[in-house]
Amino acid sequence: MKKRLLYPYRITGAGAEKLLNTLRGEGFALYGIAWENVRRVSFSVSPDQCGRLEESLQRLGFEYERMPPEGVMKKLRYLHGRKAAVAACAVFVALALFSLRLVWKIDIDGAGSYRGEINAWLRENGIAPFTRKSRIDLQDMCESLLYRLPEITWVRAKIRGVVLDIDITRSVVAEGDAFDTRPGDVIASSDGIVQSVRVFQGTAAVRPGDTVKKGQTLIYGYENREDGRREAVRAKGEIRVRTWKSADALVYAGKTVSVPTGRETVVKAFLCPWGAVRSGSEPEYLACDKLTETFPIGGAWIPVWMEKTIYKETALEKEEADWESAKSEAGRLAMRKLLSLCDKNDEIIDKWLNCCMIEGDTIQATATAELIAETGVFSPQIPD
Amino acid sequence: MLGDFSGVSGFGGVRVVISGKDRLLVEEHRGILAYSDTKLLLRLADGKLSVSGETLEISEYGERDIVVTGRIKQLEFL
Repeated sequence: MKKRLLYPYRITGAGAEKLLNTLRGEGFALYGIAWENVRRVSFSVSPDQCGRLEESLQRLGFEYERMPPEGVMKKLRYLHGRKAAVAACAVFVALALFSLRLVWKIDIDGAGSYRGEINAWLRENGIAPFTRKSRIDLQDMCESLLYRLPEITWVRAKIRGVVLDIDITRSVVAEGDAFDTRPGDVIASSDGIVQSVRVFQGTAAVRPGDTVKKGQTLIYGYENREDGRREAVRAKGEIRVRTWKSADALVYAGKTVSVPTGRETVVKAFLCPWGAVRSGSEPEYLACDKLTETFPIGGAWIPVWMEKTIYKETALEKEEADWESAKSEAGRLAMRKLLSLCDKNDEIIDKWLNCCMIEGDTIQATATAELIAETGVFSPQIPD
Repeated sequence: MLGDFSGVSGFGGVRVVISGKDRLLVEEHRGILAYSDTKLLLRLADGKLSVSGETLEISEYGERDIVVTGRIKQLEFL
């Protein structure tokens, strides 16, 4: 039943059924009719029907007693005439509204070791729990913290309900050799023909069109100054070379199968839980297929079975190798290995596959790619 | 209106819906003939419906519908 405001009545008089039917006929909607005794029944009606109901009850000659109302009306009636309770409620509401204008809690997230400094800043600026929200300038807070703590890169402050949230993102030191300033050369990591040379620091040792070998210096780790002085630096640059990469895969092409020779031996046995009686023993074949069948003799009630085992001798024979499928499989494998060796920045110009048969029915596939790739690794070698 | 009906019965234009053992809806009744906390006798268009049980209460009583709650033990069309 839908929850609604209802006024309960207790009715006293003979013929409660007749009364209920009469009220129903007059269009009253009655709720929660409860029988108390032969002369007394109680029920509830909606507030808009109270006046008309009381008129009808008087007209029909029934005594009635209006009970305290249910729900919110009951609480409001309770407050009626109780000035202290009303005042207490008013004070409570005012305090609740006032408390919503304050910050009750300050959450600092992601600050790590800077938490203490942020707390110090908050103290200096008079921001603490129970500070009025209107006193807090969030934008000024973000800017001041960013200025005061250069080690942080981002500050976000917001008021969520009665909580002041301060999210801090700290600076992260870049990994790798970005800050490594040791002098040294850049050397080739693979053989190739130089396609392009971009030197950021140091002196180029090769030009486009040069052939380089693995380990050859590409950029010298020094720079000549205007005064003729040679200064050791950390060589940096991008050297792209035309180079080749290859990958191998081996696949066995032969196949061995078992072929029945025609010889077979049948061994029968009677089995029971206490032992077994066999008609023969297992044959001494080098290789054989074995087929066993079991038949219950006495049904489910007598635990005796007959077991028939057929041993079929087989010989292992080599079948002709399927060279085409073996070549295909080896090629796929080699190509997959080759692609895993390539970097995402490599520009593949051409690729091809070579297959050959090596000893023992084995196929070897070699996948080769011609590509333009970046070569050059830093070698911390102090130049002369 | 009621949500799940475990039994629905039609009898001379009346519609009786029983939900579990503790809720009964009767539509198109013609009034109450007798009522106590253990028995309720309703008048129908062509007969009577007797409801027996314990702590019977009429939770809603309107012009066309009546909802009875309590521990319903027996329904009988008379």
